[in-house]
Amino acid sequence: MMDLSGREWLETEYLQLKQQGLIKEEQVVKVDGIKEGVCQRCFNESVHWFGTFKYQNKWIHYCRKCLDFSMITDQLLLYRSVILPEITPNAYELDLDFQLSELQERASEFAKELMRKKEAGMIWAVCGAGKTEMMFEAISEALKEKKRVCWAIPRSDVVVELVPRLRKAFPQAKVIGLHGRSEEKRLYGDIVISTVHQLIRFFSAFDFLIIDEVDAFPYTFDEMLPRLAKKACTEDCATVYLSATPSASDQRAIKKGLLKCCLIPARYHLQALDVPKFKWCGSFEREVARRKLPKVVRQWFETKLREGRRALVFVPTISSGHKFKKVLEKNLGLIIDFVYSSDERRLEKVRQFKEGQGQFLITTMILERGVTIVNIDVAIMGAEHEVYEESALVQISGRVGRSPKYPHGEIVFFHDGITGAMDRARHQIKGMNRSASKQHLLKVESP
Amino acid sequence: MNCLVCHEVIRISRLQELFSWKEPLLCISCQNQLIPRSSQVLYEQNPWLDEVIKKLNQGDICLNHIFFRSLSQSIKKHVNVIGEIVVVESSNSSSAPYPWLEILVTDIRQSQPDMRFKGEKTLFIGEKKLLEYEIFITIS
Repeated sequence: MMDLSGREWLETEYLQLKQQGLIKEEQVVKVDGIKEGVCQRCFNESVHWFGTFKYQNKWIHYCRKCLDFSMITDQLLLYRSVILPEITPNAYELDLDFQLSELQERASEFAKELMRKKEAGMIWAVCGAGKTEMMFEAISEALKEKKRVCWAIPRSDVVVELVPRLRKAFPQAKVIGLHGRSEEKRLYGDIVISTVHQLIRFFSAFDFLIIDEVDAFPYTFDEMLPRLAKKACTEDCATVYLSATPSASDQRAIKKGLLKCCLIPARYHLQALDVPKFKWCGSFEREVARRKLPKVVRQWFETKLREGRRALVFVPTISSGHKFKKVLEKNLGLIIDFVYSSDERRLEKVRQFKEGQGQFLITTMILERGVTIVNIDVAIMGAEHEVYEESALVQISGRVGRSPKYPHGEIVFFHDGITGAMDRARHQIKGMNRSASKQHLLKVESP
Repeated sequence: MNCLVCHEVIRISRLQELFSWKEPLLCISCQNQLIPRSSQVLYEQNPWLDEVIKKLNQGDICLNHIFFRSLSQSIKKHVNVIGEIVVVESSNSSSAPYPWLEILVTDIRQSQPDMRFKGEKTLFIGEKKLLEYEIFITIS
């Protein structure tokens, strides 16, 4: 079913819908594409993000900030739908084959409270706490009240992963996934799971917004994205931010009481988080450039092979990843996959590894978060590299021990000198274990 | 002042730039990627230039400023009696919301109304011939 509520269209899109008899003039509000120096699509108002040129004796002013989504000029109109959403009957029905833990229940109640009071707040939960499941009851309650739900995520891989889980949990609801390559961009969803960029298609559409991984790139690095999220919400929209590693500014806002927060320091299987080990291996990038594998690294991989343990191996850059793949394949006599952002087969490779194919998978930061692979160990090569910020290291460490059947794994940071980020990441993980231990949440006390 | 391509703040590094009457368009990092070539091909083909052309095809017409001066000089150098500039655009740029190359050439003609052209010459912004950034100058 075509989505006609809470949408914003360009003239060509609107005319097409009108021609098909799907929408009438009285069902839209027209606005200038750029009005009083503000782009009405992305709300950019910075002078240097606008461009001007002369064409056929007419000066044209356009927005450069949202140009990737087709051009908006002061000569164009935007069409905003005023049609209200029709939530599918029984969309709220939840089909769960598990029960929330006491801790998850705590976060679930917090989310429901925010939803009822139409407020904003953050759930700060460790990696593997079961954040997704914590949101199900609040979503169900929102749908019952005929509120439309959006789950916004910075990365398209996570959208792809989340859609089937939400469809399974809400079998009666229409759930759609929106990302750059999605084929569902014009379809209606009671629950819309979307990259934050794709929210550019909406205006005043959602009453309950969940922003997952709110500290992740690009949400915190592109000031346009929070504006798009705000624009996609109704005035009374409730917002839940989810994060395992909130930014320093969010942590300050929480301490000052400016942002409501629910802290979940333990995983849903109530086992302590695994603490990373630091192993010096010299300069990783220099060694792989010389087509050499540091001894300590080779020994670690050989041990994994002997023990039959699978591992996710992080590299700091694409170029070092290609070199490392060759060196490792030569040393171990295996074929090893490497995934990175511009790899066209990356979704397929990750799916295969999840399904148990391959002993090792080399990856850049793209698998830093939002990916669950059962029973693996993790190695970070060149952990002193600047791309590994504290939050990234905590997230990567959170890839092990996510399943109750295999609640532990090994995390090793291979480095050429311990950085502040490495120290802080280990400190944060230990701190969460201490906090969970103090509250007597853990089944087995952390060492 | 921000770089036209990467939007980073442009830092003045040389005294010469400080007293220049022209505002700089690019930061040092982007300027270093805009590598001048021979007279017919204006710039060396590289991923940075490809990205600029991609943005122009999306409609980011203000990036024309980057090529304005060098293309004006190149046209002046190659032709000297009045003629017609024909902008040859391939199908690659046909989906662009505005014909940026035509706009660029129009701007150059308007900035130098006395300029006269003669002869035939094909100029390229980048090296890949038959791509969308081809400018063909001929006598009408």
